Amino acid sequence: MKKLINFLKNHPIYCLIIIICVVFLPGAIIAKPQAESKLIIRALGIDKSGDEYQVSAIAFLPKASQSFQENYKIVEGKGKTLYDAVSATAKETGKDIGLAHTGIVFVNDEICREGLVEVIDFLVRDYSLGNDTYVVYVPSSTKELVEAAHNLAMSSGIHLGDVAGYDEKKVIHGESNIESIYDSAYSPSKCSLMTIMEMSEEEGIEPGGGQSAGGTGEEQSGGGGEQAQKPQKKILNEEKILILKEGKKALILEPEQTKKYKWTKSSNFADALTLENYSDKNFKNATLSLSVNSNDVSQRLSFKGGKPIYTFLIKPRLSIVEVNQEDLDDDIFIDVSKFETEKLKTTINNKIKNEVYDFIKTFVDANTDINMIYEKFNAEKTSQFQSFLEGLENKDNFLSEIKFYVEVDCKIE
Amino acid sequence: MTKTISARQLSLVAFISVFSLKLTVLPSLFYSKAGIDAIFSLFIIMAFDFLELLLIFYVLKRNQDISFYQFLSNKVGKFFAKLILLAIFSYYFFKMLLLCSGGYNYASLAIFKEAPRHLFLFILLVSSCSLYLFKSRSYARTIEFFYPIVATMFVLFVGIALFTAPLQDIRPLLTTPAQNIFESSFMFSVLGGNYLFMLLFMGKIKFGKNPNKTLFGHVFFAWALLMIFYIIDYSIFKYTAVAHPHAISEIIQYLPLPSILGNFDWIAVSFMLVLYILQGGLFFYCMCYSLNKVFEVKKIEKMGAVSKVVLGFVNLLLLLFIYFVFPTFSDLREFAFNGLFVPILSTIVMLVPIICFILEVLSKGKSLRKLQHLKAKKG
Repeated sequence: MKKLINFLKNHPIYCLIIIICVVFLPGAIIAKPQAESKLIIRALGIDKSGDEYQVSAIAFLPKASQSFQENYKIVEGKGKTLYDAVSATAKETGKDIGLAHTGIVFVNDEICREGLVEVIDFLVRDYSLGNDTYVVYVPSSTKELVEAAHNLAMSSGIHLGDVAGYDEKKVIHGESNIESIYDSAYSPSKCSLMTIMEMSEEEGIEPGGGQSAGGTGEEQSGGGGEQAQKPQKKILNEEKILILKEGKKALILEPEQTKKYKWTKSSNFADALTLENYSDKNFKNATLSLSVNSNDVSQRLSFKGGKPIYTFLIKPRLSIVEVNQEDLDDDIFIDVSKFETEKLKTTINNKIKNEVYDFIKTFVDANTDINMIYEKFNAEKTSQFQSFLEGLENKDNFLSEIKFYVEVDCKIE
Repeated sequence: MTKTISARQLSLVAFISVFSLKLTVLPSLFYSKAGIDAIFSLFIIMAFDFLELLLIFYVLKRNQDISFYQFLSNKVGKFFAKLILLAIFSYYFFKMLLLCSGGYNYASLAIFKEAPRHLFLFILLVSSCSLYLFKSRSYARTIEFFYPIVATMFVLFVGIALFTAPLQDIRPLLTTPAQNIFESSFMFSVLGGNYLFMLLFMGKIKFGKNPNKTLFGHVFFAWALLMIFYIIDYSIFKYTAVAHPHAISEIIQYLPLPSILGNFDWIAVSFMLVLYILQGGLFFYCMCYSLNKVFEVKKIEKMGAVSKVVLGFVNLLLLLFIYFVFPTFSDLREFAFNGLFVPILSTIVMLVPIICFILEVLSKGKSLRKLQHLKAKKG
């Protein structure tokens, strides 16, 4: 015993280790795992109706099972503020809310009309929720969509978070998350883009699974045959974009307009272009489908007579992937490089130009600086641009005073 | 005097001393005062620190066989020497307070919200005190061990962020009034002064053949990494940097790798925890050295327990301030960055190397004149 005491006296670090083990180890051993004390929210739907917030969430509940199926449940909560509503979702489960794994947040139309930035304030301040969480606009009720998303995940493993990620990359070509919305609200352009998902009777993907979207389990069992026959609403992701200005809904780009918008964004993701009724030495009244393999977009900023001139420089690289023509002959498959004629290039360039001019008119009329033209001029030609703004009666309407040009130089591979 | 630390080890300590709070809360604090031009505020602090490093290095090289206390006593007398050391103690005391409070603020959000403060403080203070008690030779060797890990983690982080994060154009620059830029450099000066600690190692440094290359190499490396980090932070959070007080962890959210690697955050958290402990050890060394000399108590010296008594006292004082005077990080931040006491104290302490340099140059001039006079007499 004396030896031990002397040893500990000469090596105090071991005393410290013993103290640490005695004080902290028992608590650590009996502590509950976080998965049992936290309600892990994977998707959050926020509906606002009048003064009240209603939140529906898909919660992941770890459950021991022999299959590898993940166990999700829908939880709901209401409150006067978003924080109250989110906290209320966890009460029924006896756990604390955990937003660290929330991948997607749905917001309804009323929130976007009244002001999204105020609503996401709680989501920005909550450190556990990553600001890279996707935000998606739902024209109707997010509760319906959350239920459908739950059924879709359970039946097929497709998560709407992945779909939102796809939209971010290939539709918006930018970001549609909490940070981008918050950031743009404080930027000079004050514009941000959001993906749109909605429920549809006709088109879209069927959620499948247990409950029909829009109906509760009780209604289903109580309603009997009538409920069972009601067709499931489908989840529709149509490549529409919501434009927010100052955090409020300003404009919705329909799929056709989204295609035109995409020409103004650099991308390495394949897209499509169709030429109808095209004829040249290789084709006769053909419908050509071209794959846009990549699109390189830059801009040229200049001033003339004190007025800014913004020129889109668009360089797409395309390849012909489908030819629909009566009387196709063998020649069409020989030496593909011969397809790149001056006429074809000119036709493609003009088509893209017209589409981009159309899109420019859309965003100028709506006074939404989607392409961050203010920031670009302010970064490169600060003093000239500021002088131009000072000379305007209404600085907010600067877009209508800018001259836009489009130059397209395509290459067919 | 026994040389316990080599020039290379000193340069590694200089590398480590640059980081910690500058990677978490400082970017957002700077941004709140100076916007994107906060990059210039950081540059001003860096430039001043570099000037100080040159002066400190000159003084150290010319006084390799005496301690800093002996140097000050010889130049300005014991009373003023103790006054200067008391100021240095106060300066490092506030730095340690910021480390403890700011570090807990970061760790609690980055790791576990429910983790109590005493757990974090226990780990930090015990580890830091151990580093001090094991003396400078062991501390320097510990830094040598951790340096490649820390440097690699940070370089990896910066490299990945540069090539994968969605960076925005940070122009236009210099749109904030110059007053804001200089004011923010002044208000946050307590987070500068990274090389003052070298003065307290005076007499213990073995310079060797080419100390300049090693020292300045590591210093520039650290500053380059820090500058790139700030540019990345302001490029990602161009308009909302003020809302991101834990910069290093928040930047990681914007790297695509987390979706592949899972919790990439572990790099930032591990890196920061190691930095806190290493810096804590350095601050304890500076505080205890200063206080040892200010209160030279012969009775306790005879018992050979000076270090431990002073260390105990410093720990008690820290805990008193953390739990009663500044119970939250917001209180400490308000006092340290919005009040005048801490910036003025930092400015005074940062004048110390300049004063030491002037005194050294004057005494060199004096001894030269004495030598010339003697030569003239002989001749």
